[in-house]
Amino acid sequence: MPAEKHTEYYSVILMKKKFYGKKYKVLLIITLFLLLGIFTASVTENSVSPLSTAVSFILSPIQKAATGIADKLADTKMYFTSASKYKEQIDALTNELNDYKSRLVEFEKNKKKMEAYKEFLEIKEQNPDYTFVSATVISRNSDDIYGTFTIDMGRGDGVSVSDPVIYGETLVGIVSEVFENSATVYTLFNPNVNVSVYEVLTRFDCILESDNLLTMQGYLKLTGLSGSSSIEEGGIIATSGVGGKYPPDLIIGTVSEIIEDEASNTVYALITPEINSDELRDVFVLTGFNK
Amino acid sequence: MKKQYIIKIKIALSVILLILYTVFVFLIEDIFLPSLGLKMPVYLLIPMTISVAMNLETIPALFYGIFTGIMFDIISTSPDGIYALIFALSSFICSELTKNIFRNSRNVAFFFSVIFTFIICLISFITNFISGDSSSAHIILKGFYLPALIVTTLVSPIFYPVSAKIIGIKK
Repeated sequence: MPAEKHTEYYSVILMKKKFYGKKYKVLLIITLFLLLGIFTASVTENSVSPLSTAVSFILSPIQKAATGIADKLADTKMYFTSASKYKEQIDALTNELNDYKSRLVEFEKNKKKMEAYKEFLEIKEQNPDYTFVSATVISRNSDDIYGTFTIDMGRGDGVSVSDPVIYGETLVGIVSEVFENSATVYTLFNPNVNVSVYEVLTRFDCILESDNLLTMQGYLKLTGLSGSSSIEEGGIIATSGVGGKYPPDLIIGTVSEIIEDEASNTVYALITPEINSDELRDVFVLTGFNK
Repeated sequence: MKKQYIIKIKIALSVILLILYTVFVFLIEDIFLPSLGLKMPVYLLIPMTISVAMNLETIPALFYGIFTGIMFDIISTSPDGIYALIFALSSFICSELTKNIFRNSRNVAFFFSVIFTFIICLISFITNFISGDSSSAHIILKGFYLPALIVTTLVSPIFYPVSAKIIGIKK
């Protein structure tokens, strides 16, 4: 065999050896295993794979603790801002002012919480058969534009996929993935969340939709309007309960603007959501509503 | 015998340190950056995984990729398990290429980070928006994924020396 052919022959053998080597076999097995995981996640009720469930079980308490630290740091940041602002004026009053300010922040937080609990109590009184779980937001998903977040209650607390998530009398979103001790919540901005709604004053039924461009501006889109519909700016939009996926009369938001699109000959409204999901810290999950 | 024992302890310490470092970066990405009010993702887990994988043997790099990929899956809305697979393959490829073709250097780590951040942005975009409203795709790309890619690229050089130090390779 000529020398060149000999070298070529051995390089092919080496390549083959390398390709069929141990690490490539491991890679193949792992890839198949992970593909199986993706398949399992797509067919299971909770939309999560066993591996994610295991890692999430360990990570969610850490996430919760880190959220607490992040909140404390955010408060500290506020103190610094105030201090530098007032230092130029009267140094002696700065600390006192910050103290009042932090008390005010605390008061506002508690007030908001109280209002939410009060509204929640009203719902509970009106619907004694509803079961609720109180949950805290432990992380916010920065991977999408829809404000998806994670709460510290999961399968072990009775939370399941498609459970509505509310804050006071306001609909926040829907549970999309459930881990053992945490769950992911899609907000109303997510295109996978479809809600049938009505305008409170006119009782006009419409459809709530998500539009990526409007989502980035903080609006929801209300479609199904006709030129003759009497919906006006400032109107309150609430869930109609049609479809049985969400309880009726939960507030969604207010009509900010009505737009007539001449190009497509349609009318739609921009809705400002009642709740800014970025500011949410506590929510209630309506467990068992869809069972 | 004693030397072997010390080596084992050193390896165990490196593994613990690596896990702590990974969880720390995960928490910065998942908790601290969003709490600052950032309206875009900063994919810190990608350059970190690439930097670590380049300094590991191929099989450990593969398993490390699965670990960080699962973390990424938890904080993303894409179908569960998809990032575990992508991170595992990315780590394997980076480790293998560093062993056979490229030099193990900061520039190569930067190069890999940019490529894989781009790939993951693309996958995130496809899985999140392909079924939704495609008319605003360019706005999402320009206003959400492009800043994410730029910021992630800018912060990625930090991870290589830190990762190498943690694994115990002097750079």
